[in-house]
Amino acid sequence: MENKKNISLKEKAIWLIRAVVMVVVFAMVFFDYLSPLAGGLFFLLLLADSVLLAVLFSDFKKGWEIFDAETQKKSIELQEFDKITRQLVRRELEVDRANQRLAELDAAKSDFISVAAHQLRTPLTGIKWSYTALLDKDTGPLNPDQKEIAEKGLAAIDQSIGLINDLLNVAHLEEGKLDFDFKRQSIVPVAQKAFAGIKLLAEEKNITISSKIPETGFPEINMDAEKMGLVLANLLDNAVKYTPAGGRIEFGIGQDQGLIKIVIQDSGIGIPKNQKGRLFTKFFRADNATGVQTSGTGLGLYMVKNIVERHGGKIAVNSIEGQGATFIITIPEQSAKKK
Amino acid sequence: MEQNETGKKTILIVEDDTFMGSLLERKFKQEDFQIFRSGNVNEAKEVLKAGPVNLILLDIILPGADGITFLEELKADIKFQNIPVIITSNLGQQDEIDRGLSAGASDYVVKAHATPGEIVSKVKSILG
Repeated sequence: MENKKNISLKEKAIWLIRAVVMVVVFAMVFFDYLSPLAGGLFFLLLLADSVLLAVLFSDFKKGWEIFDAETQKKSIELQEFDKITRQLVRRELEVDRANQRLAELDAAKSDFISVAAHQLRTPLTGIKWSYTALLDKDTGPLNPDQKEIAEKGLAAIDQSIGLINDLLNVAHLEEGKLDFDFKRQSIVPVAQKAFAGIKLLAEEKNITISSKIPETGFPEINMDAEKMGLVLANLLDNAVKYTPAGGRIEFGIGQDQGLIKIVIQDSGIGIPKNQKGRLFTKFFRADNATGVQTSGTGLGLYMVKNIVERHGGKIAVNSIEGQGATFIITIPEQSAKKK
Repeated sequence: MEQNETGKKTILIVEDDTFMGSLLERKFKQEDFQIFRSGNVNEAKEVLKAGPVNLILLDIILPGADGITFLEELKADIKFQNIPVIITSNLGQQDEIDRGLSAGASDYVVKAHATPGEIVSKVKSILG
């Protein structure tokens, strides 16, 4: 805008000078200082020059205006570009900061879960060790009633510790931080240990429990023994929990077309047909399950499915409500070696 | 193996929870061990200076300093590096267990998953 104003002023000044010169030439002719012919010629030359200049100025002005408009347009575009660049830089910084914060929160969450588990386990350990001291007769013999109370107290505490472990495992599964220690090994010892761990509990509840676990010649698979132990313990524990007294549980391991097949079959309460699809989801407990056992997080089968899938396997369930349930796990043998 | 004048094997229990410490102490005394207890690392250092210790049961979360740092100090000190250390903690994640074992612990016990009797058995198997 400033340039436009300057040109206009220059133009005015030139026209003013020319007007003065014309007046002076006219005066010189009038007072006989200049011949009328020379004065007329000079006057015509000035007029022609002025007309030419006016045309040139007009073109220049138009050109300048176009140039000025283009410059302004480019300047606005540059300002916009600069603004967007600044916004992008700011956004990048914000994203960096947000990512950093997320990483900090992630670490804090992980630490919190770990510390919370520690803080919950500590008082439970005190109670567990107290019952253990009583049952070990550290303070003298117990009468049958005292023994029963201490045993039930210990079982309740162990259940609470188990729930904390489940919550911790699921939290770590969700974070992708549950460490798996895969080794090429046989599932047989893991299955034997899981069965031995549940057998007494089933018999105490008057449930007939049997197993078909091959002693030798079973292929090795890539497996985390501790996690697979957790899977089998969970499924067997559920079978005992949801099978009434007088029922039966069958636990078997076999091979089927390049797959290791684990079957846990019970004659328990079964699973309602319309709830089978949600059985392996987090925090889900079937309606008939809550009627039998009020405690439970609904995390066990979710964890079981996740662990089986980390082994490249699958879990399926067949059940008719009121007639029992059969859980079937299949895991690829891969490059299985006979042991 | 060094023993004190009573001829009993000596265990230092570094545990800030006095109730759990007392339950462990009771169990070990029944099994004829001599027991020293400390609730933090500084007290534990004083016990170690005072006389021979055959094994240390070491908690991780302690007031002031953490057990793993103390374990690393012990393993770097020629006077104490041969004393077996069993970590007894309720921190039970695999990375925490790995950290303890790589710092030189002979074993790692998650307290909530064990009983004092099982801890005594582990100690006996290490001391022979």
